[in-house]
Amino acid sequence: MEELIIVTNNPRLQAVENRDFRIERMASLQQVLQRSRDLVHQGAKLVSHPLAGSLKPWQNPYRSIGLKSGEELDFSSLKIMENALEKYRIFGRKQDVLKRQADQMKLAEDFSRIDLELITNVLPEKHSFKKNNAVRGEKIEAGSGKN
Amino acid sequence: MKLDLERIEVDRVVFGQENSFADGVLTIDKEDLLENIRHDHRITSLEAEIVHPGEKVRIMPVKDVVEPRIKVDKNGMFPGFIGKESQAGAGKTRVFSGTAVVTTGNVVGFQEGIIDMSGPGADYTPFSQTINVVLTCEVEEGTEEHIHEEILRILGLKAADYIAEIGLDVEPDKTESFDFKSIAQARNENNDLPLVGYIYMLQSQGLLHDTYVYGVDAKEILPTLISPAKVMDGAIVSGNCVSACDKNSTYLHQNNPVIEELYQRDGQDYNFVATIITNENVTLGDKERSSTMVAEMAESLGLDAVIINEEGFGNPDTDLILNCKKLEQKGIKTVLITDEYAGRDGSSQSLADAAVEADAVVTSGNANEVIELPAMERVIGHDRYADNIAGGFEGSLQEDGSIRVELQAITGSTDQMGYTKLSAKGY
Repeated sequence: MEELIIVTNNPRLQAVENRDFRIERMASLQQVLQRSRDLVHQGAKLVSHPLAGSLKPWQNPYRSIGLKSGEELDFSSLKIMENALEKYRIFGRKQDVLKRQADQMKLAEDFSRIDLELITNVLPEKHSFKKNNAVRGEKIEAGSGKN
Repeated sequence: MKLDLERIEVDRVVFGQENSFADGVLTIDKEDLLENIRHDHRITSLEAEIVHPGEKVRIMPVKDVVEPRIKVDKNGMFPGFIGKESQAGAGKTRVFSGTAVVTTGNVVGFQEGIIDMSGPGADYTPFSQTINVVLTCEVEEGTEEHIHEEILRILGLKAADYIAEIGLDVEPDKTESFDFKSIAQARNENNDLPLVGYIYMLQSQGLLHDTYVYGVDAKEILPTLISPAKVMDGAIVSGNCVSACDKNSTYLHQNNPVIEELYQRDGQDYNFVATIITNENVTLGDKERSSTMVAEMAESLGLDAVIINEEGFGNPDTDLILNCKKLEQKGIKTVLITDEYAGRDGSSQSLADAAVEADAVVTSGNANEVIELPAMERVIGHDRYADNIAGGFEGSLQEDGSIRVELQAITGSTDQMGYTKLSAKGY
């Protein structure tokens, strides 16, 4: 059966456990991109685009990527992942500096909020997490995503 | 449908006891303006200031820019927000040319954008050349970001509407008429000119990335035809806060240069017959659906060629390339307009996606290029955000108040509808 997988380093998603999708938690943006690429090699297909919309590849320290598990290599997904990793290689060296800056300026909450907004688009419509939390932007508490 | 744009040229804007216009001077009753546009109980403070081109003023962070326009019959501007849904795109529209309403306020901490009214930064933004009524609005602490964005968005539209109404009693300086023709009309003209369309991409990815069509969130729309005259009447409204350089503020939609240029040469070099709006959503399924529908719509209309412009960057690059590929595969020629994220030295790959079919591309500048903005005498808004805005980087804000930023931070600097001075030339 196809399974929805969210690969993420967004702390707002760390606490969510549920039956509708599986969360793979990563420690860094680079790991999120690499793990997603590896899943594509194992047959998963991208559901969401790995690049943010109008924020630089390295600017937002948080990223969540949605994939559907599968059996065959999807070359289109692979190309998109490789392009995203290439963008990360070009701009990603600033990541540490910006993450530190984001922490200092207390921007982490805003950045994770934007990432959450993007990934919310791929979550199942019926999911309480989407209806009750994400679209209203409330902080996610442990277990709030349970059905 | 014929639309007359009746322009009133404005030389100066001042605050005064009552609203009036005489000898090029627009006088606004500030207290009445603020009272009339204060539309939400969550607004805790609201201030308006006027800035003219050449003043040593920096405005930041800018949220939206709106041109004061109103229907002469008072109904139809910004349909779905201010005007009735059935009215836009025909009749007479009165414009205070050379003026703009600028809304500021930080919805999130890393928000852009900068408008410098003088100095080197002024060359990069079209809004250093307009007389700006700048609104600074604060909302209750804890106001959710979507609500905050909406409050600022409506505030800008209401202010533009309020100011434009002063022009209803004024004799306009000049009138431009637009009569966009249909495909049937083009056929009746019996010329052999190609049928040309415009694929108008709208950012639609959620908070800070949204655009509204007739009041509807563009992420919920399917690609559709729209009359360019309706666009001039504010049918497309920006809910975008990022990224400053290549978001299409509401002003740019109202003054879309692609539409205006296509109209100028209509009937001479081609027949301009269709404007198709489409979105830039997050999921790949949405991207496939929208690009497929765009290509099929263009094919069923019999278009020979289209101009496509992107809004924003990053994953929307994929929408741009999908639109291009699917149209070209149907034999419809494409020309793309996009800006570039090619690194500070311009040597990196410009877009996140590419295709061999994309062989005619116009650039609107490299958003990664770094520029130094000297300190200004006055800052409207908050310059402590300089380090955080989309084009800022660690240490951007110097002790003397100057800022080192990428062009990305400057409002409208690499606008992908071409409302900018940046492009590339071959030598």
